[in-house]
Amino acid sequence: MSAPVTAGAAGTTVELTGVSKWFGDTVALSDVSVRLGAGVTGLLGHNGAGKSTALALLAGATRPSQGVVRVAGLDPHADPAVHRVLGIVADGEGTWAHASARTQVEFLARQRGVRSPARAAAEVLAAVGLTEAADRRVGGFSKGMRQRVKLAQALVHDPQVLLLDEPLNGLDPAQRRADVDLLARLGEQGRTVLVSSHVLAEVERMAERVLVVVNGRLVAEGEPTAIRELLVDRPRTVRLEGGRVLELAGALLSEGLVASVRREGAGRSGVLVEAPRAVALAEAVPRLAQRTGATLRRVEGVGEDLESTFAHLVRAARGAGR
Amino acid sequence: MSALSTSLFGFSLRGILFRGRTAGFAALPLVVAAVVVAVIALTSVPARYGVQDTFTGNLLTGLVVPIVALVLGIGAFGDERDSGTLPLLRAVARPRWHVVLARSAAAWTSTVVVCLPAAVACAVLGVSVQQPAARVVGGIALATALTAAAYCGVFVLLSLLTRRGLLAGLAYVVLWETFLAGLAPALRGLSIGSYGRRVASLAIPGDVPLGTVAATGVGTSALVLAAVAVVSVVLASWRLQRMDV
Repeated sequence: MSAPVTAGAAGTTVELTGVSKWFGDTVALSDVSVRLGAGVTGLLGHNGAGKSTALALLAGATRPSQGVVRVAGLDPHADPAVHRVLGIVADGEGTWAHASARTQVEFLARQRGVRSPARAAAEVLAAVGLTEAADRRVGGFSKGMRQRVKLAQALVHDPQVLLLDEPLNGLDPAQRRADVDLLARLGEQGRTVLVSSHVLAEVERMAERVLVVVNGRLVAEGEPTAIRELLVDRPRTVRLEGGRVLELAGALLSEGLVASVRREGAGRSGVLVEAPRAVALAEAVPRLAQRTGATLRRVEGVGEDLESTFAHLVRAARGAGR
Repeated sequence: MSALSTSLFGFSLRGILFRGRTAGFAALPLVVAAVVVAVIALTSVPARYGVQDTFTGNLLTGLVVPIVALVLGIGAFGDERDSGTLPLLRAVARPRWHVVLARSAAAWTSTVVVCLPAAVACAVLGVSVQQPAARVVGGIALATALTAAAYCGVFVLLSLLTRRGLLAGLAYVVLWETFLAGLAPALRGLSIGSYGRRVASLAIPGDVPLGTVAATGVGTSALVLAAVAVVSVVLASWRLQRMDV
């Protein structure tokens, strides 16, 4: 999908125009155009969808094979000055094991033109909950603590634009909540924050807008609730197990809520129903189970992996929805 | 914003010096120094007179400096690649040649520091055979510093060109510098070691051969070594600016 998306009212600070990136025969990103302004935007997609490539392009870590990338009006690959206004949490390790958290955060602050690097480092380390561990070598940190060091590195120069590649990976639930709140606050303060994740629930807690990338293509964008509906209310195969499930399946079929009913193979007592709209099915099952006297032991989706969900979006984007 | 940022240089230097690998390779110059001390203690002046070329030319300039420069020079960016911190070095708001200059200067400084015991031992060996102290110390210091600068420049560049920099650099030192470049006089013009040995000849009496040396004079050889270092920094800066990290 290459249709440009309009930015927020605060103006565009991040822009991809007709951007493609390929590595040999592999197309990592295909003709993506998007403009972002102030606020938190979630970048959602399965592993290998192209999220990290998009962020790497915006961070200037790599050049586009085609198209134009701009951050704060600058080419992030060619112009180091962009790093005065840009903070990055990249994929991968990204911390210096030999240095303390304070040393490396302060070092980066100095290199990005911060006037009081020591003070800025102390403040940002406190914000990510690392004050007590600040003077220990990062080589001895847990994965979650290193992730927080990366976040501190990205925030220390108070950047206008933040690009965060799965920044919550490895964090414990409490720290995850704290960082979600922190990122949401940064967005409210008028910064442009782009956060990648493969977990919709996580993204929708902080993002005002979600971009969905599948196989290198931007296939959907919108408010988190709209994206959730798109992801949840889609054709699904559902297994029903329990007493009188055939009668229940028949009732669902007669009301047009399922397109087909199949009995499971030998040794299994359930039935598989194909529902064009999963939400309508979920709403109808309790009512019809009561009416038909079915006693359900299990209701579960079949093939509920994230990639199949995104594959649905690809089909929808091509106009070939089921 | 000065070109050689003390913060960037200091951070790079700490990164290189406090690596375990640096401590391991620091043993090589120490072993050479110990052998030289043993030679001084156990041999007569005439016998020592004839082995200066081996220690100063072949061991110090021809082996210790290139090997230490290889490990520390490749580590300047190679280790950053391995640990995933290379993007951070590009994510600073200063020209990329500042980063390369600081990293190269840090690799050079650490190479000179690590090679110091072997250089001092070679100088003591020269003085022990009644050579003028100023000439011996000056010659060895200049040869060590310039050869280290040229090798560090080349290996820093190599670390940005390939992920297998250590292997490529080792092949270069072993095959080219110690073997192929010595086969014909024309090839010596392409050997950093031969220029380094020519500069080191300042510290050696004229009648002592110094192994394979460049056909140029001492001054020209010193300039060639400095030029190799400068050109390497320029090329490495261009590479860091262009590369994907």
